[in-house]
Amino acid sequence: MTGRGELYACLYIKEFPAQSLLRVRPQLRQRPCVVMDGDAPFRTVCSLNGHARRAGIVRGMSQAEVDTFTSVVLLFRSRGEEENTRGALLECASRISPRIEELMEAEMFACVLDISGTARLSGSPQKLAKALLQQVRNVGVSASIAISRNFHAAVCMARGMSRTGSVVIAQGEESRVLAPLPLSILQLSEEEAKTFERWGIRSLGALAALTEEPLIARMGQEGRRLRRLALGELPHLFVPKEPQFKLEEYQDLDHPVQDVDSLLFVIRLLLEKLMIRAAARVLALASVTLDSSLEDKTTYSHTIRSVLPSNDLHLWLKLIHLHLQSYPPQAAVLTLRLYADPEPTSKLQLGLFSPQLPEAVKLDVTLTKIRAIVGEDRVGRAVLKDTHQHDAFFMETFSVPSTSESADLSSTESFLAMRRFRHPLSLKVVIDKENLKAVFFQRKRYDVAFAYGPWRRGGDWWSSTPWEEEEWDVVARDQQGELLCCCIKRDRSGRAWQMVGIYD
Amino acid sequence: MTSASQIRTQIETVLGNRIPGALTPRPQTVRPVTSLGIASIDGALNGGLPAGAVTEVVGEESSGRTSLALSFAARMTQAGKVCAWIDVADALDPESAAATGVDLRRLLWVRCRTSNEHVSSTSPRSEEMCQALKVADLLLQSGGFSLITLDMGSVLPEYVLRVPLSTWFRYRAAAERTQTSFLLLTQKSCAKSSSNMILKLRAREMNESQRSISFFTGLNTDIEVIRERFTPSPASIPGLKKQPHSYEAVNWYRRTTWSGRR
Repeated sequence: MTGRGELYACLYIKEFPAQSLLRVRPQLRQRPCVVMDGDAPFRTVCSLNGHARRAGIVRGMSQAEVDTFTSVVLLFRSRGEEENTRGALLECASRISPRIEELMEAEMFACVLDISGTARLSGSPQKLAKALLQQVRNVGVSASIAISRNFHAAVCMARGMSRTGSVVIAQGEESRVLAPLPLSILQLSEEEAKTFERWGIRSLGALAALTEEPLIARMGQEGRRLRRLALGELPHLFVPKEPQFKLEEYQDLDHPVQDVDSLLFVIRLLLEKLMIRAAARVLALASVTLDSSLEDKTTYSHTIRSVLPSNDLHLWLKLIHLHLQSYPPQAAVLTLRLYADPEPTSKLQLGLFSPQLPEAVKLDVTLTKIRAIVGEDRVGRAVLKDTHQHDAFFMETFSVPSTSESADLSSTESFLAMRRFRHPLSLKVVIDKENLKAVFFQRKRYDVAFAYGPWRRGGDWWSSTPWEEEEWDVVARDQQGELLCCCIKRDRSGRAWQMVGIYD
Repeated sequence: MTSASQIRTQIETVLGNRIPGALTPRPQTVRPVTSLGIASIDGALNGGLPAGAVTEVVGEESSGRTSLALSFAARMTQAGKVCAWIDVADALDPESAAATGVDLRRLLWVRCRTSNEHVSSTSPRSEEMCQALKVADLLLQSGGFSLITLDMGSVLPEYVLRVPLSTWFRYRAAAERTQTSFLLLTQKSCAKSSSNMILKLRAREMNESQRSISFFTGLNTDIEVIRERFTPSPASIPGLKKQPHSYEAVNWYRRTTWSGRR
């Protein structure tokens, strides 16, 4: 919106890809340079400097065409360097005002600063523009700066400036100052450009002079918008760019370190810094990523997660300690980088005297310790798969369910449970006339009292891994009279017998 | 004439230095128990298994130790509590657990058997035992688990009996502090005085009606309490001599999931 107290400064950088590359190659600035974009052989010129333009090169030329010019330096577009330059420019702008809106334009960099209320801090708009221009020059790029009370007027003016420098548009002077600028700065569609060309309108002043109602009748609301742009009256809702909040700390070590305790000392310092920054925004650390470069030229990158976001330094140190013990770096650590994902702080209800359920944070540490003892995939809760196949389940990370469902506690039905043998356990079976007579198990002979079966089972015949087996439920006794109830199976060849499990 | 209470006060004052409160009956501590939901067993156990104590369930293979522990776990998880199952031999069958009524989301399962070098043997060895004992320690110390089952049912008694008694004593103290029911499944009793209750399970012969059916329907088990500390006594003043226990074995029938109710 355009209001009385509003003041905007537009920082506009033309030929951004070329300027990004030349800012770190000052020796090339006095030579014609072009930046090629795309994959060979379809590379075209996407950006160029003033010397190249004066030599006759235009944007869109192919590499073969550029090669016809002598002493032209070919550069290739680097998004990384553009990103670095962009970051440096935004940092310059943020020194003037924290409220910055970035505009997305191809091959250009443009951002608008809300500088209303900065007069006491930075002086007059002219002084502010000069200071900003100087800062941008220090980065190594040349820019145009336009200051106006209207957002779009500032952008149009900065876009239309033929030379680098700064312009301050006084209040009420917007239409007069914008009048000589060409229509092309409004970024018209092809159809609109043709229409205005037919009408003989080539400047913003000519467009502003049109009467509004007939223009709307011919071009619709878009015509009205363009006219108001030309007049410097179009309102704008300023959406400041929120700086990305990144929790990251980096430390170069003086000497390679392999000892976990020594590493933890450094990690502790970095964690403290991260936690202070997170706590300042009422956030807590949800996960911490350790990223280190090692002495043997490899990297070590591991992410440690907590079950609940927490800023408890001891908890994080314990989790990282246990993780480093389980997965130690293969060589001494040279550099240490810690990233953290922040999340809103969690609420914990502590038990009155003794906890009714495991406390989430304490449980997390306990589970990490248990994982270090028995292995990563050996702890958790079992989730059954939707199949009739035996022992079909997978393990999932254990956490205390938040909801408690009421169940009927009147009586529990008693079922026979099975103790399963997960590794194939071969059996010797004595068969007499297709009847099971005895089973040899754990070096003991069990005489079969009852054998129920064979029960033929199968499934997944529609997939590439079908299964089929024959099972018997066996009730047997050893010489001392001890009972053994088990489930045994025979493979498809009919020769090998295996113990499935014991009913217990 | 001096009343009885005055005489008692005098005697207690004289003996105060050596036997404090010599003639005053000790206040009885109410020891909480958790029901298994199986009426016959609950009746025999005076309400259920003790909370905040170590209970040993001993018996041979097929005697019903796993079924009993799963029934208890089912009861606990249905009440919204969280349980842990430390599985030394990696023998727990989640399907059986789910069929018994265990809410698998509330059951932390720790599978200790990791090495494949002795897969031909059914009994785990000292490596898995060490893992299980460490895990039990961690879980007991962390608190919040209403039931921790240490399943050493497949471990040969000679290995289990090597566990120092101080370990069981430590578990007993931790269970008491965190009010966790600690269930120990073994073939022979090993925790000695650290266990509050020892249940002996023995599989029974199949009866005629079971034999006549053409598929396996279930098993009968005799459950006997062979030790119980803090037996509730009806008298307010304990006798000078400890009374011998007189428990009768309770029959418990467990049916297979594919057979109907009897």
